[in-house]
Amino acid sequence: MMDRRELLHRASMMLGGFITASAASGILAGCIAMPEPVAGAKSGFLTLEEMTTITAMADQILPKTDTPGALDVGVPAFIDRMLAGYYTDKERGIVRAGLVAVSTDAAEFRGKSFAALTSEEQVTLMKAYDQEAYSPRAATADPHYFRLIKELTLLGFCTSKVGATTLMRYEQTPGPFKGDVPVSAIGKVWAT
Amino acid sequence: MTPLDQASREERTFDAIVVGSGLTGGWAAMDLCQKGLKTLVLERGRKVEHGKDYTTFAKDPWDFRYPGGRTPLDEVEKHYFKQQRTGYTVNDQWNHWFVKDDEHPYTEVNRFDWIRGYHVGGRSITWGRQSYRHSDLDFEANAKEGVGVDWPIRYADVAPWYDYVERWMGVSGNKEGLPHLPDGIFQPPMDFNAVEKTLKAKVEGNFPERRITIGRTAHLTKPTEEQMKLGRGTCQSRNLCMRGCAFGAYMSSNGATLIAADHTGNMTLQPDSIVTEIIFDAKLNKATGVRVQDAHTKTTTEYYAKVIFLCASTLNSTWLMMNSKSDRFPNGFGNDSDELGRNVMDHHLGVGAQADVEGYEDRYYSGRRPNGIYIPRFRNIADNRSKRNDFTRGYGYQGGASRTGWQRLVAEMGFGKELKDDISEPGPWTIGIGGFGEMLPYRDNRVTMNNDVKDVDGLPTLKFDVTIRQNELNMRKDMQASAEEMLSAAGFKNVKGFDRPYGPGLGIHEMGTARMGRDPKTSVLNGWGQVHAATNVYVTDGSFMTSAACVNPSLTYLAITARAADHAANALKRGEL
Repeated sequence: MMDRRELLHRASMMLGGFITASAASGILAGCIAMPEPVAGAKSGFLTLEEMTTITAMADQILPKTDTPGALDVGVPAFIDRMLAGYYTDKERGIVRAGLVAVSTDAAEFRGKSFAALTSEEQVTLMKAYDQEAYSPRAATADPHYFRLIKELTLLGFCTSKVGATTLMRYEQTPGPFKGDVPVSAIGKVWAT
Repeated sequence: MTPLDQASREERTFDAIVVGSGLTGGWAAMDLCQKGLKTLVLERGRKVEHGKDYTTFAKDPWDFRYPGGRTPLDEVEKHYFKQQRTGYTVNDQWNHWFVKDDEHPYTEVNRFDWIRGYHVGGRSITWGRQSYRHSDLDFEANAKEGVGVDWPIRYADVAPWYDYVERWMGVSGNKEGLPHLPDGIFQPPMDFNAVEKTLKAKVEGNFPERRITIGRTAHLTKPTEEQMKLGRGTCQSRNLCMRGCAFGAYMSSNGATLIAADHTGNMTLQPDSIVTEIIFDAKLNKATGVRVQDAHTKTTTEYYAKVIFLCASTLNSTWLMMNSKSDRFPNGFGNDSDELGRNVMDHHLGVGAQADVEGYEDRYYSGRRPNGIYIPRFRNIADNRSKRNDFTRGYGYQGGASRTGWQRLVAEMGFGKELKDDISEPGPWTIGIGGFGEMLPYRDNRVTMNNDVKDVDGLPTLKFDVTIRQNELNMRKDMQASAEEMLSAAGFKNVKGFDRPYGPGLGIHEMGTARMGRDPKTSVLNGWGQVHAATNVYVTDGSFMTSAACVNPSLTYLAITARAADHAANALKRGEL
């Protein structure tokens, strides 16, 4: 497993001279959607700073393309709600510690917050995290924070109305079952 | 109208009382009412109206506080610490159909999973709906092997009642012509998918004694006129059945029998009424009625009838009999044999195999089939090749193949546009089959009354001491090995066997604690389901099961209930009860 220093070094190498100083600093500051309460669910685990990082990461994991992305369906607020009310203390701790590490990396890397990095810089760091998260781990090892964030992003997006109905096929009431049809008859994956 | 608990004795007197409104209680109520008996149905839980009270019926995954209805862990730990053991019963979609463990405790000498719901309709709302007949292989097994006691009935006694029940409630399935899994009256079978078709062909080609059929399930695929008149319709393959089905597409008390019972004008359905005791008249040598505790006010009222049906679910009917002590029955109602509460059985499960399936990328299915494939028992059947020396009885498998969805992506590297594109693609196929094994009746597998632990209603509770034994453990090894063998024979990849920790009760098929038998000295009930020592009390939930067979038991409960209701009505006419 790579240590953090090596990871940062590799990230810099990959970027080479390609990235110039970004003017992105703070652009996200005004558009962080803090969670709105949902009946019966908790919220408010993440700080504004953490929400800012999570927002940038969720945007990279499932970006808006010609179809909606994570931010279009409120994934950051969803992640906060899941962490606050559904995940365990241990998992909350892993994500929180992970976000601290991400901030440290971003600061060492370009002297900025993660959200203030350019998109390419963010991707560079995240590729390293992705590599680390999915490298072989002991069965008993704690989950990697990046995997938890990716899991939450996918979960929030794919169980949202927009995610389930635009990127997938969703029918609450599909009608009588047909057991063997061509994929083309359905078009996309079933959301549920 | 005067509330019943303040009415005169005459107004509190009925022809029949049915305790419980679940699958068997609903059926007893319908048949008794249709035979002209004024029937009081007593349900300990709250009122549930078909359709109207299925509060989550129309919700989408995003309509819940947490996605797909996930219940947060702190609530699970507080209220559902035992109910959650199945892995699927605790969810905001259907938590309201299950008891809270902090309100309804029980004591475990050994792990026992007692999963239940207290409300009108009981577990008929949440049951698995798989419906198979017993055969004489099952009814004769105890006698042939000298296990437990002999069933006092045979297949021919029950066959016409299976016909009646299947025709009336609707069972979708395919005729297979197997003597040990008798065919029934079926509505059109549900489809196999592409991968299951391959499994069927390969397994039947490689193992001539094995068969793969589609699950026989109590869903309407071609409703009859009679079913449509009750407001029931064709299954829409939502597979959200446990929320309750406003289409009435699967059999439930709420959506079928209780409606039919109500149409007769003979039924009085009273929720929030906990039957705590059967009133026994030693001079008449029969039960005269029941004592009921109001679930809210805790006041006690007595109701009277000529005939009483216990359909409160196996362990609650047993509890009620244990709690009904008198000079005549110091050890519990009808318990001259000391068999009451003994011989607890379930189907042991959680063992089988799964595999990845290559190919079939262009094949898919439409809808979420609320059903799976079924592999009927092929061990210790008539065919000599099927004989095993390491265990008696047998098992069947349930399972199915499906394509993975977006969830697979959590386990894979990558993010960004490519990950997003992957979301839309149907993933690879996977397949799994899990066994349901017969558990033998062991006398010392028992529940007893525990006066030290009281429930939310102030009533004593049950203590469980039930385990599986060597026969089941040996069978489980074969259940896993044969599952691996079949998936491998079908050419599937990464075949992985599994044998997950099993606690009795996990099958939610509690059976046998007031068994039928020929001899009052060794059984609680006779072949009609009547208490030997008080023949105007019938017990027709899973309590009566003398052996478990390996098939899902509810169809047999219903057939025995219908047969008993007919018997009771005729006996009443003849003045025998």
